[in-house]
Amino acid sequence: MDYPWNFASVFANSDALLVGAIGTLRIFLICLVSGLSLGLFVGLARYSTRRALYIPASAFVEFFRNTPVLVQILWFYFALPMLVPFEISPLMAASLGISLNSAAFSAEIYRGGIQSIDKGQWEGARALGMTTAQAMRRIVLPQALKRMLPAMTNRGIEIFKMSTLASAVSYAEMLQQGKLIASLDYNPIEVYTVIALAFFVFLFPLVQATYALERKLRRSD
Amino acid sequence: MTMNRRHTLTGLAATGLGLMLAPHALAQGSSSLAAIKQRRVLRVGVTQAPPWYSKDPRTGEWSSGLGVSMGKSMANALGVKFEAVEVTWGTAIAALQSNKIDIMYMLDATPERAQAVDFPKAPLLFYSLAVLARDDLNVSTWEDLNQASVRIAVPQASSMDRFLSENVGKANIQRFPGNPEAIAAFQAGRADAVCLFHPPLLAARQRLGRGKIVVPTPAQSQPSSAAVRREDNKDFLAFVDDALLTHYKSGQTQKWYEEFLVGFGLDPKASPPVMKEML
Amino acid sequence: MYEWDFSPVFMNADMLLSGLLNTLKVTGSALAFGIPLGLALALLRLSPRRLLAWPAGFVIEFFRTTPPLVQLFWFFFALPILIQVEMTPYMAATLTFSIQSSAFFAEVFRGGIVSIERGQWEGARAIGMSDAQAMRRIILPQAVKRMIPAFMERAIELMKTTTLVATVSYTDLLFQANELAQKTFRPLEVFTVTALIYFVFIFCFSLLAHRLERRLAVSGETTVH
Repeated sequence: MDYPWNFASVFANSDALLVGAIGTLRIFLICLVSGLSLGLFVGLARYSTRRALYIPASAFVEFFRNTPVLVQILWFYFALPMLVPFEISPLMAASLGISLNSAAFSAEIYRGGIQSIDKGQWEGARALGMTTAQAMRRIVLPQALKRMLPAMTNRGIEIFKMSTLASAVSYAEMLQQGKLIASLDYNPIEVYTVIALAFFVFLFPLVQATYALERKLRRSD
Repeated sequence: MTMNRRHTLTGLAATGLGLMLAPHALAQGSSSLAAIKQRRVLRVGVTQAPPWYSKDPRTGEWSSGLGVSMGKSMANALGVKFEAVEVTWGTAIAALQSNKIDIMYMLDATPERAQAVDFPKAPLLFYSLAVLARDDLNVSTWEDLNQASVRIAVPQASSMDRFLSENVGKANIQRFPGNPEAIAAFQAGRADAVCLFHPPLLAARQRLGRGKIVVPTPAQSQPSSAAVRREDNKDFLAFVDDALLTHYKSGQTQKWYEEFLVGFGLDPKASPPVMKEML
Repeated sequence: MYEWDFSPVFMNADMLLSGLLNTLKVTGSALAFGIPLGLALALLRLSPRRLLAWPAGFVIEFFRTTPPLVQLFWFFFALPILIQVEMTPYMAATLTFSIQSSAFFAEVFRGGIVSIERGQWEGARAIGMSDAQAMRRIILPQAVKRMIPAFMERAIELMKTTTLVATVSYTDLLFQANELAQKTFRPLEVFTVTALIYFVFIFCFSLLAHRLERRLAVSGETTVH
């Protein structure tokens, strides 16, 4: 390839990329925390026998797992403001879309994890005089969480990658900053290569950690 | 149908009904001018499109561009702060309607838009529709572009898009979210030409270093305008109309434009002016 | 009360329909190329020769770890400058998602192949088959049956991921939705209908996938987790 690569132009904009990295981290943390905690409630509701909890939780999970995240983000950014009297910023719209989607997926992980705990644990807890809620909180969930860790880390990695979708509503994360730099310096090859490598370098260790966790879990089970 | 699926559909139907009955976001009979003064902020729609609007990637500030300068000046005149809200050419109208922004400059007063929002009578500036084309592309008239083998990149739902769709319909028109993506498509050779107005193409050509700018004939020279929300109270519209006229007549608009060119590294004397009288 | 008005949406239903067809087109093409490419990558990855396994491993990890939107931008705006080849949006989108999905399919293949117990390999070798023959005639057919649920899941993911092409001028359903919303100034109705179209389509597809899974489970050939 006789293309004159010019990475210097990218690094001249390193402050701009840093702003993007901070933006990515911010939306990642927001969606990770809200997605996984909302997912816990929805997962528990899915596990419940009361229809008033089970039906909305199921509808929520099915809807947000079966619609593309980008469509949800655009809906929250362009459609929702027509219905509500307050402002919806790009960060809010993208966070809503990604969090709700992650909540739906993690709800299923929670439910699977809880269901995988041996019935004996429940019976033992009840024999000790615990209520269902106490049994869930003190005996079942802690064990289930350990089993769910690989799937959850996987979800976390997915959320990190989904942060790039926020660029569709101009939220200033890594990709959006890259687009801006590329439009001013006309170096898309270098910019997008650097961004792809940045994501890879950051996520690869986490992905390897997930594999290690899975292996350890398989052995300890 | 299984229980699970039936429950899902029930839940969804209930949500849909709830959304249907949601209250409307905007109150009819509102006054933008009063709201702006009360909020103490003028929200100006912006999109990455030098020389009209440009963002500094390091600080995240919308720091340069004719639209930015004009917006800051109008905010000052009203005694409020200038706030840039990022939109696209295609979503600006909806942003005005849903009260996300108070005004956006450089929106041409097309008939479709005029049905949804208000435009002042005074022109903002004058410019010509042009293309930045491959050096080896034979183009001197719009008809030259009107062939299926010609790929033209253009920002979606802009007035350029509208013109091309109506007059150069046979061409392979690729629509992108905004100016930067359309230019990037040209840079990557995905398009044989990118269609914008003359000033943005100047900036692109200067940085890109290749391609030729052509104003195809018949030349489409037209005024640009600024869009504001449609409402019964026309105070804000009158204010904008007055401001645009003043800035145009005094040559301030042309000066802001030249300021940007200089900052970008272009020679104002070598670039076509944005005032009809100076042509 | 917001004045809902779905008429612009229904009047332009053909726009949305053509977008939906394009969505299916690019999803289908990406699957058609991604699955064989994924198999090739998986086989390379499983090869005992490092020279083959390591590059394959790197490609798989790289395309699984980098965000699809970054890949899409790279293939759309950067690649054409490097290799002066003209690609339509359809070609560029298909290329991106074939490679992106192949990385995930490679892992599904690998998991399926590895899950076939050693006994099968030893049995095949005992009857005198070479490794390649054993793979082709004994291992792969059994592995594929087990991988079908994971495949369906990946195919559904792919259909959702391809919405990204709307940001690079490929006229899929989401692009048409944007187009319609911007021309009619009715984003609420347009995006609501679009979300529902996606939901109905993908929901039905995943119902089919579950039915297939249950039928496979009955025949004892699945690793549903």
